[in-house]
Amino acid sequence: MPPSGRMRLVAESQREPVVANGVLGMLIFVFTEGMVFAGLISGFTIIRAQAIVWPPPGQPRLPIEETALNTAALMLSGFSLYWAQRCFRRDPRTALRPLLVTLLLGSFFVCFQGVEWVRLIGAGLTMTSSTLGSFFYLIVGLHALHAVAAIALLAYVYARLRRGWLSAGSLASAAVLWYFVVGVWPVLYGVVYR
Amino acid sequence: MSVRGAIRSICAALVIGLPEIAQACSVCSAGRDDAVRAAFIGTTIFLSVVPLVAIGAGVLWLRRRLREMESADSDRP
Repeated sequence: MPPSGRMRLVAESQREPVVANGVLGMLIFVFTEGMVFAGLISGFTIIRAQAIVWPPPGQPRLPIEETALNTAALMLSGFSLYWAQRCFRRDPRTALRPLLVTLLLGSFFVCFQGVEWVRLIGAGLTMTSSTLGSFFYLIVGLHALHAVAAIALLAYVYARLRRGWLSAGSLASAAVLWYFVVGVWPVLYGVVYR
Repeated sequence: MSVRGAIRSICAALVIGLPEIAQACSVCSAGRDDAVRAAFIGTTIFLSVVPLVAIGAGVLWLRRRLREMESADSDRP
């Protein structure tokens, strides 16, 4: 006998949503932020193409080699978060360690960026010293801001997981933001540092 | 030439001539050398493709997720 309308309605309301609300919200946010970065990258590319000498005279060269190490740390944090999500599906408690590794690698990335900025400011690269400085601090700074926000969210997720209150949707929402931070960085590194 | 014809000719001349005077197009005024022109074309393509790829990837992911859920539903007794 086919289910009545009322029974079917109850069955559909109990069905798992295709995308968790938090994940959908984060995906929309990440899409808009992706377009912000795309605009900044485009602006930087045109300014650089117009320059006769690059980097501008009197400005330091960006530390490509040191940042490559930092890039590797960020990529590793992406893999460790993926590992944490896999562990979470099997047994949530086992996700604690890979999530902590992600947090540590992400924090290392932000701290390393801070040290790099101090060095560059000391070498004369500031927001007002040249178009390179303006774009560098704007683009890389905006990325660092996203990284700090994502680390804070991951720390919150980690604290909830320790207490045993974490849902799969909350972890996935935080993961979307971190994957965005990890995914956009190689593009920024390739465009800004080259 | 009639008055209407003269007006049309003047309008056509303005349409052809004014942009050159105003240099309204950023590619015409700033992109005079090959590198800058290539940067403008490249970034235009980049900014056009990025949202399409993002939306396309989202749609494909949703489709895959729906199929997974449907197969999970059909496997359920």
